[in-house]
Amino acid sequence: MLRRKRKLEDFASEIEAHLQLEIEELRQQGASEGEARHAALRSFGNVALAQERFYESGRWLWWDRLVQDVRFGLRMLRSNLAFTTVIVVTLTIGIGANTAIFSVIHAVLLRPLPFPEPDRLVFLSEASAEIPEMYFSMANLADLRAMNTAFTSIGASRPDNVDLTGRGEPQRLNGKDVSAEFFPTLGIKPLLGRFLSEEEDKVGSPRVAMLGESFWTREFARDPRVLDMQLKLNGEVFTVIGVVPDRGLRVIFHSDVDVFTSLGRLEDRIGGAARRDDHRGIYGYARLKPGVSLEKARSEMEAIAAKLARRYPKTNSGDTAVVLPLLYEEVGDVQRPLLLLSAGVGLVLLIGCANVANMLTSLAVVRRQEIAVRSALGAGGGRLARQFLCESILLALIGGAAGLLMAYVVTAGISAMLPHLPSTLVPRFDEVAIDRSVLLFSLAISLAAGIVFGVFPALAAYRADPNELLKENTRSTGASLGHVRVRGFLVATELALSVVLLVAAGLTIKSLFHVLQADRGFQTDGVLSATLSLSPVKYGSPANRVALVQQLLGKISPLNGVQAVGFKSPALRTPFEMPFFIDGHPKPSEQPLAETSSVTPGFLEAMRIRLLQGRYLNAADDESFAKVCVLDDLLARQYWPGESAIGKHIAVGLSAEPGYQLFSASVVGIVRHVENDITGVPTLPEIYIPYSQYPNSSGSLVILSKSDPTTLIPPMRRALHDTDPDSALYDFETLQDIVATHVAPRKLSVILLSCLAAIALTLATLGTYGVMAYMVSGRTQEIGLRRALGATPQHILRLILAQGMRVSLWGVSTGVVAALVMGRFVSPMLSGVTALDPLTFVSVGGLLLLVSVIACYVPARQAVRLHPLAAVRHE
Amino acid sequence: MFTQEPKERLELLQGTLDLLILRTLIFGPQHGQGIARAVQQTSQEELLVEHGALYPALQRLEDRGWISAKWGTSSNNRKARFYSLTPAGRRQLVRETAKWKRLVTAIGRILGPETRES
Repeated sequence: MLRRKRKLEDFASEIEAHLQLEIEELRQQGASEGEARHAALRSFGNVALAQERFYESGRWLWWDRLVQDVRFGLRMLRSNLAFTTVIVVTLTIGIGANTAIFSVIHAVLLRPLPFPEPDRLVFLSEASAEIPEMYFSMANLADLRAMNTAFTSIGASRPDNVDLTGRGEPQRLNGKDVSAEFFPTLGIKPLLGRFLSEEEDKVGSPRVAMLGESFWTREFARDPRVLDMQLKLNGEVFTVIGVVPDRGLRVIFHSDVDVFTSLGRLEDRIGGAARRDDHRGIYGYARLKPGVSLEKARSEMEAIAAKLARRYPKTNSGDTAVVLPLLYEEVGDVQRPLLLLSAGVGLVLLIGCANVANMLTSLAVVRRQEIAVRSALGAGGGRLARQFLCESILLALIGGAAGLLMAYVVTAGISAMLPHLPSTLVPRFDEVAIDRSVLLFSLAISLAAGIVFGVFPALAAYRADPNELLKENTRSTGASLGHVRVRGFLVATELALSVVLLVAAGLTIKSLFHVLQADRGFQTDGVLSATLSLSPVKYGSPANRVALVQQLLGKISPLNGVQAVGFKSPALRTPFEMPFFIDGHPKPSEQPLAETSSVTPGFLEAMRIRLLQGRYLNAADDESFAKVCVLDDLLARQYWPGESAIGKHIAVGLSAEPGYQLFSASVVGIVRHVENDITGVPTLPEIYIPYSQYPNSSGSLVILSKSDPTTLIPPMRRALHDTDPDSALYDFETLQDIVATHVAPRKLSVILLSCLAAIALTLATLGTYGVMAYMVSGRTQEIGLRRALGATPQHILRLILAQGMRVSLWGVSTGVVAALVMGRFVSPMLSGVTALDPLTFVSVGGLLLLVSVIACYVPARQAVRLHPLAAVRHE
Repeated sequence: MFTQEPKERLELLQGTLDLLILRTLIFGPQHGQGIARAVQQTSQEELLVEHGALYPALQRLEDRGWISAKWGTSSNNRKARFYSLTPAGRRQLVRETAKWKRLVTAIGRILGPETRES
């Protein structure tokens, strides 16, 4: 349709040529000049009509009219510049926020994982009655692999950070053990070299390593000669056989992995039938066979797990299998907050639309004269409505373009300001981009918004009767009843939506405060932690471990400012859930678990975990002394209610080699319970046992200092170097940072929701004020008349306020009901506050009513102040 | 007084003008006025072609690609827009002629006896 159009002038000159030819011919037949011209014109018929028909056939009329509408619309918008600006800003915020959130949702939740046929990939884990997502034991995974029919293959991975030595300074590497099936299952191809073979994934086979892409880049500048190179990891020599691309794996592991080694080589250390009860960090990744549904795979896995539970009741009873879509497993945690946010920005856009609709409706009233004239000149209702709709959509598109820009600035800004956001808060955040889908989305919501808020003025224009409008004359009779009703409805809607947003913001703020102020059971200021890893080769014997830790602590405690120092294994934030047994407990149906730590004297002191009864652990509690332990008050209260637990006996099931080893100890102290609810799993009671009596392997060093603890980092490193130059201290973090990281997601959602609620409140206030001012100005004459007839100002104030507050009450009460419904969806994200928190509801409702009273009072005041005579003459 | 309307002429049936234009152009390129004249003369002045109606029709045929046009000079040295038949137009003419003949025959069959009686 882009063919060049024939010009109207060309057509006209053809007609002229025709007439001339005709005239000439007629003259040759003997007619006079005048007669010939007359006859030629007569036989031609209507020249103008022919031209008109040519014009209409040659063009698309609707396109023509659209261009006209757009041109006219732009002129209207320019002539009401202030008005246009307010509307465009409102829409920019609304559409921008929606586009930004959508770009995140698109990248995080919707975009498929970058693997072949990603929707057939699933995540596998075990689950027990207490733990909804539990690591596999190698034996159970092997059985699932052998017995299933649902998957083409099952791969496994397990975190295994290692120390790299022999290449300058020792380095701590982010490592994973993977099974030979792992990469083929996901469909990953090596960037260089090859992946692990089946033969290399066995005990005693040659040790091979695959490097992660970013580590290869960082350490070897992407040198292909890295193949066949020897690396010393945890003191063992590995041969590099390949390089693994980072893309995709980053989503699964939430960070870039430096080195991959074989999982199967550890079979004799952490696997085997004897260790069926040993669940060591292993998760499964499987690919569904074509045509097998997730549900079918899930029921098969559960059936196999049930079979295993019957076969091995001692280790597997109560255990089952978990099958989740891989994408959901990786991003499911952020799904709820993201959807909540998108509902929030959706509400803001709706409120914005209601406001804009209000403004346009008042503009339509001002433009009544124009509408009347245009319709008197022959514009039909449809044409007028289209004109108005066209203006609205123009506004929406301008707002949408600005919103797109805003979304780009916001998402790029967040990425730039918080480079660590990706792994900790929102997985895949680095993939957020304004791409085609986002562009389409913002175009679609702009158009939708334009139609939503354009419908009101367009309908008003469509119904306009030119006679009525012209009769109304210039004398303003103010708001017609229909208009007031529409606008009242819009304001009530705005208020209701604001209530919902404010309640959501209020609830999250309250739960953030609860989390921040909650007594965690320890104090964070002045405490530094660092991870110490003990190589299993050099520190295979428990005595060596105890010796190293004691020497190291001995060198650190005299350092300047150190008040207390201790060691805890496993490291902080590493769950170590162990079964325990007390006389008469457990009943066969339940096996209680406790968070068990082996700690040196000084750890509880450094963490300032309050002693409630008895004593802390001390240096005398060593291997030669009777076994002792410290419990938290949660456990003590539960099993010895109303009596002292000191001197009682408890046996902790510790997995040492081989199988269980019961650590029977007498209780010497009771301490305050420490909140270990970091993963959302119900918080468990805690048991502390002396490190020298149970020398677990790696763990965290914790130091309490009088001054800034970070100044201790260099001397601590030196202390370790003097004790053992081959070991490394790493991941130095203050407890304050650890807590801040833990609270960060809550803080972020509080900040975002508060911003949205503030925007919503502002818009709703402006909307209410606008409608009240409009309504009052329409009633100015009436008010003047009333005053002239003796009404007092108070009387009139009350009259107007009553009218305004009726609308507000409607809006606020609808909003409260909506917020009660919404509460069901946000309650899983709250802590320390219920979704029906009366204080939040009352204060939000009160705030909105107060705001609407002010918004009604201001215009009412102005109307009352006007002299009655001036008011009557008011036009 | 000079006049050209000695007898009552037939109005064109809907859609037949296109056919007549295509048919006229089979003898070679022609301008609009020539086409109008030719239609009138070949029909022995039976058909009334409003010249004004001719041009939108020509435009329509051109848009469909059945005729093409370019400016040229007429026999008496006047500038005029000449139309000629394109291959597609030729095919269209054949199709339309066949259709028209079938239509005439069919209508003739129905009307035949009555006209003989009258």
